[in-house]
Amino acid sequence: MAPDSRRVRGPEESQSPLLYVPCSEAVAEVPRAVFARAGLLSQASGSAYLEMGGTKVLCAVWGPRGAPGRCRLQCELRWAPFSRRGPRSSPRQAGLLLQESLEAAVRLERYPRAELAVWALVLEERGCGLPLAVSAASLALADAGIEMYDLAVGGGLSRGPGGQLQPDPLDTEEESGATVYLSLLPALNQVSGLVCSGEWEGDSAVEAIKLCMEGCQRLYPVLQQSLVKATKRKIPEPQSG
Amino acid sequence: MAAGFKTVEPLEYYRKFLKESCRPDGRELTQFRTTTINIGSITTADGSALAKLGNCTVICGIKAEFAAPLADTPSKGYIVPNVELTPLCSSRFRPGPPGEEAQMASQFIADVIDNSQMILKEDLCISSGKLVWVLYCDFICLDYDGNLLDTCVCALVAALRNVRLPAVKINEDTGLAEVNLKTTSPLKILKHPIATSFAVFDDTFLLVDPTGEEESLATGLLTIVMDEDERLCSIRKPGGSALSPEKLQECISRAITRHKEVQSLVNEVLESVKSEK
Amino acid sequence: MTAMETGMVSNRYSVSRPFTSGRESCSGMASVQLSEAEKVYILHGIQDDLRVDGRGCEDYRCIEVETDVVSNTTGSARVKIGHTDVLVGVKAEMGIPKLGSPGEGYVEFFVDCSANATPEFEGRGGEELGTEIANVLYKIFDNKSSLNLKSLCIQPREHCWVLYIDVLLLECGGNLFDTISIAVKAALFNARIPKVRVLEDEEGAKDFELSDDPYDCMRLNVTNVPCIVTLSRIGHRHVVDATLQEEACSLASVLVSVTSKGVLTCMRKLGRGSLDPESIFEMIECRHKILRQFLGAIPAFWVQGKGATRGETSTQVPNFTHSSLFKDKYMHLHTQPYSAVCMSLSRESTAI
Repeated sequence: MAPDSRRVRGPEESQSPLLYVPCSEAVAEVPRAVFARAGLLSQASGSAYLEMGGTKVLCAVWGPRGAPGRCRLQCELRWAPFSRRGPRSSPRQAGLLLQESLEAAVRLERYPRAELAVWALVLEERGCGLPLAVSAASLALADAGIEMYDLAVGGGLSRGPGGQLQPDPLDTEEESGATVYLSLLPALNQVSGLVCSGEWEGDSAVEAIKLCMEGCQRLYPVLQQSLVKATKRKIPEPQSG
Repeated sequence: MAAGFKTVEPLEYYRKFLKESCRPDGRELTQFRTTTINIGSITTADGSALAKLGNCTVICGIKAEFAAPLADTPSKGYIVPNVELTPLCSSRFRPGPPGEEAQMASQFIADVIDNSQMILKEDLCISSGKLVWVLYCDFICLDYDGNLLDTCVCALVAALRNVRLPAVKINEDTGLAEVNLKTTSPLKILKHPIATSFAVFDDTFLLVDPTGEEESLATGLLTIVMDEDERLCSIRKPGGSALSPEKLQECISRAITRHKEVQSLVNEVLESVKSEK
Repeated sequence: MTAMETGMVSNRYSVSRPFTSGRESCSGMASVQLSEAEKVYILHGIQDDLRVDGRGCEDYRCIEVETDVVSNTTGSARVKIGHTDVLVGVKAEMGIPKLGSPGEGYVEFFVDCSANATPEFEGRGGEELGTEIANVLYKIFDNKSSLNLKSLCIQPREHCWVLYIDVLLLECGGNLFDTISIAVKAALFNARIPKVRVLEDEEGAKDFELSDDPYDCMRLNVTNVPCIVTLSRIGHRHVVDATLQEEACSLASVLVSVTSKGVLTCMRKLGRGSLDPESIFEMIECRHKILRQFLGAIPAFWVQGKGATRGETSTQVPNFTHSSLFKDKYMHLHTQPYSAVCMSLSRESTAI
């Protein structure tokens, strides 16, 4: 590959020191507290920041802005180069997963000849980055004043080595086995996104999906509250932006 | 009324304020926006810092990895800065490979690191000719509102001071590296360069720490990087209106005081991080 | 269908469920434009378990599998389901094991959406779909049981086989994912990886010896390689193996990848619509039924045909014509050169 003159050049190859650690230690389990804040970026039409037990996601929404054809929801989801333990991974693209989860929640038909751009960035991945990005994105869309049917709330779950189901898994738990990510429109009770990986025998997948949906229902009021707060902040000083 | 005037004649609007030696956001000409620094918030990185100047927000995460040194510099490590201006921070950026401004910023940071001698690349050597550290410094702009360079340099200095490298031994039998995560050591930072940017208005007014709006209206920009010994590490003046030596001297003096402000802020934040632990 | 009926039907189906009232097909793949009346016709048929081509909701079209189609690959297969036509080539090359798993080989996928398949793929048009399909393939192989990666290791930390699996879409006629997964499985089954002996001389220098005999080769165990079943939600029912027209009527579908044991290895919701949780559970449940008719037959043939050369293939035929699971199914089997198998799972039209 030709050297990229647009970037400062480093060595051709490098390795993470974690690959040379004799045995990796398990990360202590912490209760995963959720922090949600909407409307914190000055430039974007709408924005949201979500944090859950170490996992940090920031999302910005631009639009609606003019574009030919029918309304498109353009989604990008990226992981910061320093967001993972271990190797400095090149950012994965997961925009399509985000798009599929959000499209069912947004009233796209209300925005003909327009484009909505959703940009999500995972700053730190301690498990559940994708579902958190879905929640953050729908918060940001709502913050931007985009018409929606409901918030799409993301939830994750993993199955540990002993077969126990662990909602909101840590990154170490996600690596170990099977995972389910789901996005739910809680008020309508509709599933708008679903990704399952690993091996699921018998009816365990059904059980996992049900547990995941419960997790989403618990997160829903937290997101609603943060939206109310963001709106209240906007009202007294409408010219702040 | 004021809002309409601002939209129609933004330059006139600004001039009205500048005549009174103040700015539309209430600052004086030599006043910085509120500077906020948050250190060590990203635990997956080996060192991290979030710097905020007003709305302008940059997060810097540093990841240390192993690499083989170059043949002609067998005991020098690498420091690779990379500034990303994603569509997240402003609608003027498009996804894809780094644009002009991002390339400029990355190169500027690389020059600051080299010129200021803040870190000796020899200090990043683990085993001469075999293994060295490479420090990837990734800057991601989260909110773009002018004065990107100052924010990036602030974040860089703060993040580098947060870096803790694990102890590494080379096993003589296998030749493989052995990493001990329990004993870590900080980087040896020799200098702390801090950048101060100015916007030139109508060839006469010098505005420190310009916002995005001010940058777009200005006739010239100037960035000065100073270290703690009041030595000049770098000056960047990309075209625009000419500056008299007196004016430049004025800017340099402002940069010196700014350095002290930021330095004490970083120290304060580091202290509070330590006491929390 | 009379105009009266159509009017009535459209009333019935355009009930105010705004989140499923879009147009267009699910993902960014090749799509056809359908008029409202055509959609209603398809929808109404599916409601009565009768599809436009005479199939029931859980019937596949004729699946044609042909292996060993490209001579310079390690293994290859071409699969046709209806108008969907996919060519898969497996190329084994020697590489270095990944640092995270020093004792295993690995698999790389590349999906090429040829502009021949549909004009939409011209230029960069097919790229997104290509990466999407490759991502799904990585996901369904991302577990320990799908493929024994340890068997691909030649020397830990130093040498292993890397399987480059290239998927070429020749024609898109709906149900891409299922077709591709069958083709990948067939190509892996077909793959003959040369046996390697490591020779070590006194100084510790290593040399490899590849066997000259083309029959002295390693075959992969593909029993647990999963197949994808895509279930498209249309109206209040789901269908398998949707045609392009049916995909255009569906707003959301669920992709389920299952091994022959019925273990789920990957599940994805595709498309812009949302789904009722109950209907997802129904779809998960229904995989068993489909699996029994579909996976149960083909792999049995493939696995027992292990090491089979051309001549032996035909002897395997009785094994699955006798399968009791197919008693109400009409099927044909052609033994074409290069062990081509064609079987039909579609119900004979008179049987309905």
